[in-house]
Amino acid sequence: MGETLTIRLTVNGKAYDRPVEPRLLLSDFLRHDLHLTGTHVGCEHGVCGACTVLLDGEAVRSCLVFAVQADGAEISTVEGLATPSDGSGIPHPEDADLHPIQAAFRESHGLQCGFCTPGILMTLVPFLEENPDPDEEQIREALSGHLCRCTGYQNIVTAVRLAADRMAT
Amino acid sequence: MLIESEFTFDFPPEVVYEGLLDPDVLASALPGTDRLELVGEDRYEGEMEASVGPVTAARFSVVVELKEKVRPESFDMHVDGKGKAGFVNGIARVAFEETDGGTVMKYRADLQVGGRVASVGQRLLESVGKMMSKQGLEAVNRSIMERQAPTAAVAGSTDLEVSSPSWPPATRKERLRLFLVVAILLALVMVLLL
Amino acid sequence: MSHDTTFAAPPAEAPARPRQVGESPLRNEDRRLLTGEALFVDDVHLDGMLHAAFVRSDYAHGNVKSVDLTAALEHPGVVAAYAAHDLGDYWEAGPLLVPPPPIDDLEFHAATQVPLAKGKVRHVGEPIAVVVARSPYEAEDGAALVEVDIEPLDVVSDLKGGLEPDSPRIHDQLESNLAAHVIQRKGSWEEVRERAHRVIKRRFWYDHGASAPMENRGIVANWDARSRELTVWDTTQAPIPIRNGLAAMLGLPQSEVRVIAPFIGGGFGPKIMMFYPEEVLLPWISMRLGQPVKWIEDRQESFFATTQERGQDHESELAVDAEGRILGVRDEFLCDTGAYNPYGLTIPINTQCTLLGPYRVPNYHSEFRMVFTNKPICTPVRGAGRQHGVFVMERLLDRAADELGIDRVEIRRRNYLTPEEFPHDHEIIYQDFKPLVYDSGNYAEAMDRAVEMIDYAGFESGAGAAARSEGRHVGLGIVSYVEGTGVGPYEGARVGIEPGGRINLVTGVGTQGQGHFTSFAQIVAEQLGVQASDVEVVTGDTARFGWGTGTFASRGAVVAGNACHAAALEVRKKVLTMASSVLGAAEEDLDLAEGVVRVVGSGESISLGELAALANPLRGAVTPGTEPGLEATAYFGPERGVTASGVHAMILEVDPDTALVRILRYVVVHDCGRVINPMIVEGQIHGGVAHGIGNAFYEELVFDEGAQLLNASFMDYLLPTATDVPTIETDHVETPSPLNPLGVKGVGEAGAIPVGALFAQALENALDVDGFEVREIPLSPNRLFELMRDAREEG
Repeated sequence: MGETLTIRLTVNGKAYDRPVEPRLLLSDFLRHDLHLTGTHVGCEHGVCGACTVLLDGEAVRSCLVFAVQADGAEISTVEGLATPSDGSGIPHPEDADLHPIQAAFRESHGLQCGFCTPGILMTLVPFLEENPDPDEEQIREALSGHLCRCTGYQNIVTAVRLAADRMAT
Repeated sequence: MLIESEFTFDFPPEVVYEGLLDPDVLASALPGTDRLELVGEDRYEGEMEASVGPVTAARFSVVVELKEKVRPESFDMHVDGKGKAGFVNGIARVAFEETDGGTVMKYRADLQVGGRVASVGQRLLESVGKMMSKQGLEAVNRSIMERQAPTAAVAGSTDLEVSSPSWPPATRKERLRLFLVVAILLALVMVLLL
Repeated sequence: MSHDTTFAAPPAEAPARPRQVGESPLRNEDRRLLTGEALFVDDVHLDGMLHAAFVRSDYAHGNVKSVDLTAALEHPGVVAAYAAHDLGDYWEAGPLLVPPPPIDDLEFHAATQVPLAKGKVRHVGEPIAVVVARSPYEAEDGAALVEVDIEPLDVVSDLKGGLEPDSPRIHDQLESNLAAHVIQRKGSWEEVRERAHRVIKRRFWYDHGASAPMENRGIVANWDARSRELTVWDTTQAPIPIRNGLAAMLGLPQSEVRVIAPFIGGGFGPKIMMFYPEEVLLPWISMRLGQPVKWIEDRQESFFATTQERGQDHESELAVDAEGRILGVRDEFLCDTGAYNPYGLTIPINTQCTLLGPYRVPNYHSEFRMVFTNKPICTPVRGAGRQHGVFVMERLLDRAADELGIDRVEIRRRNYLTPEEFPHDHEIIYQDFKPLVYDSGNYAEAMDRAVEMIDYAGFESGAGAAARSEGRHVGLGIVSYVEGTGVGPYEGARVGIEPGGRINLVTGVGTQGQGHFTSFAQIVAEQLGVQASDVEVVTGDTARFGWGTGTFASRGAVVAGNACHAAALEVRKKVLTMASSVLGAAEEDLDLAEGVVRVVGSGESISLGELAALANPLRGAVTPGTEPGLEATAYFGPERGVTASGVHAMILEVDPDTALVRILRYVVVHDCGRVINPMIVEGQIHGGVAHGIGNAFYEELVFDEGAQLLNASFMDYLLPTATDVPTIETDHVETPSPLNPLGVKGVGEAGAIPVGALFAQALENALDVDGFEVREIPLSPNRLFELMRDAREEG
């Protein structure tokens, strides 16, 4: 390893203090230094969206961010989405700990191979906060920064609408 | 890839022609050129390294051979440039015509570009190439001017000066930017040769 | 134990046997995928793991003069670097995966890929050296320091040119760039051509594209000398053949090699290619260095290093009578196999066979030449050559309909095989080496439903006419296709019940998102009277199941699914035999539901878990000849492939100024036999259609005349996004296949197959410009604009 800088940040509420090379990408830092491998890397040039995480609440492509740029930031990844809840509104008790968006994806068959899914989920979290009642066009627009080769997007759109309904109640 | 364009120099064809054959004139047009030497009859070899933005790109080695020389009307330039991010080779036909005390240089380069620079930089290459050719040739024009009137020399060719902070070499996945650099770099190579 | 009836509940009515197959339970695999817990290959982390990066050719064709690893080896962090000569005897060309089928007078010349280029490079991206370092960053730094000197050679980039006598030759050991020449005939084309009412003749170009799964390829290899086990995590669709091949290459017993295909982020064909150079090298490097090694492909690399599918140039003729009945078809085409042809003839034979579609074609002359070019290797991508054949036939029928003044739906109906005509022998050989015999189908019914769903009759007079009167360019397309699926040779499965009642299902096929953890579980659950969520499914780990071939040709549900079914039936038999003895009741009087065997009409029962415990006693004597446990392994090998089919219809709108296309409606009526899980089947269709839309209008691998790929990134190679893919309305026709006990047919590729033909027809309908004809795919706004302009200028 070449010259390193030490960064401090929190990921899913947990504080980390790590030396990193300046050229280390945030995606690689999360996946390979912190072993949070739920964030996936699909293109490494910011097009596919699979590596999307929340940086201080905003959805960013972690393959386009250097780890050093996340110094002092709060990061959220897919691993932090599910939290034990009362499961209200989720008809499948075994999914009660899932975030409503996660549960809706399962219920609507919004994923197949699941590789692109974590990034899509992380985009949808702030999207649904800002757009609690989106129409299909808004949903498709929000998804258009993500590539999915398996689903044809249709069931993802359904899942987002279902999640919005659940989260509204 | 075809690049076809023209450029007007402020000097008559004989001066331009001689100037373009002088490696120092060519090298002065471009920052990052470590070496450009006449190594045999009408054969030049060079090494260059160019930087754009925060990235320092890989080195390129360039071999140029001039053929079919008709002084001061035309020559064919056989280009073979290789770098870590790809290669460029092909033939550029260059012709000179006198006009109002100056020279119109018409050039038509049929280049095969390969490697990363082709696979990712292609769509940028042509337009960037044209733009950079123009800037480079303007620098050549100034260089000739310096040769013609050394006392009026202007140091360097500020047009092409690009910032080169000491960022580490291109990072593994920072390819996007590297590709841009390489695209521009290759355009510079072409400029250098012209 | 509950077979002691003292405290049993009062006798209950026997519950109806719960149906599992045909239902849509939520997927068992989803939780792991949604929470980030699912293991993909790049998630594997091992202590001391090294990282590999490959040095690849920038040249499409050239002589490798030298490879100098010195500077790379001196770079900090670099541990090792290898070029071809370092491999010694391990350097060997890969196997011919699919030998040619038994077709008379077939000419085939094999040339398979090599681990690292030696002497020559034959396509851009061909690996030349590999650098191993402590981190992936350092490995790439090192790779950039490898000095490669290549003397460029003239390049073969087009199919016709590649067959010219003066063309550069790609493989010196072969006489030309001809990889194969195959003719299949039925009846006499020459004879029907003479007496035909009309002969339609056209030339077509159909290109395919990249598979572009969201996960690139990757491999982790770990040789543990103490336990003598080589473990390889591989993004493969075929872990078992990889295990077998690696063991042979490395001189290890198969028992010392374990290949795991964990969660795979999409496959779509190229992940079944074997052996990729990286697959051959990573295990060898791990054994040599005694450390685990990882290689993860990056996206740009995948455009060269992963196989792709490309274009075919067809010259085709259709002979019809005055009523539009097909008398015969002649089709001659050139197809590209790239620099090597490890996958044999699968793609062009699929084209040749699928061209016949759902139609009665009494006379057929089909001839193709496969050509080596200096482009990346071609192997099947979702559809695997079937698109090309469907495009040719559907386009010819559209032209015949125009020329004869017959409605396009009607001309198809007149030529459909009827349900009474099955099994129907097309008298040519299919990719599975068997005669192309369709097992079942009801094509007219699928067309009827599609016509109704899209309101074909109402479109021209109603919505279509109304839109057109407003000056909008709206068009409807409707096309048919078939898909040969579920080919052999075989797959296997093991089903077992643990004491405690947990049910395990293990099968050898890998899974790339098709929902096998659920659909296979449903098949087993139905036989064992449990829920799909009660069945733990393991796939793609050779240590767990070591027999099988892989996931390709839409065969998972057909071949592995029926193996699961067979194993579950055997376990069911064991359960009932044992319960009969334990409960003292005749098997006919037993009912198995909700994980419990009950004696019908009495209160006696025993759970599956209790039976499993009894079947594996710790003490006591057992009856000689019996086997312990409630477990069974079974295999299924179909006699031949099964034929799925369908009709796609769409309404689209073209903006004639920008040539942008908007899909207003998309209807799919599909027949994949008996449906195991409608939710999953529909998902497969949605994804297939999206892939097809990409193929038809967005995706194109653009090569220049030097065989350099010019758009090797997702910025330039455009996958359809959520704003490009419409809502897809689906319906099913179920004609169960008689060729397997479940009656299923494959569905994985179906959605993608007819989309190009559909786009072409709908665009012509929308634009209605004389002379505007779509004879090529993919289109793009640019290309469509040119075609419209040319038609207007000619008109």
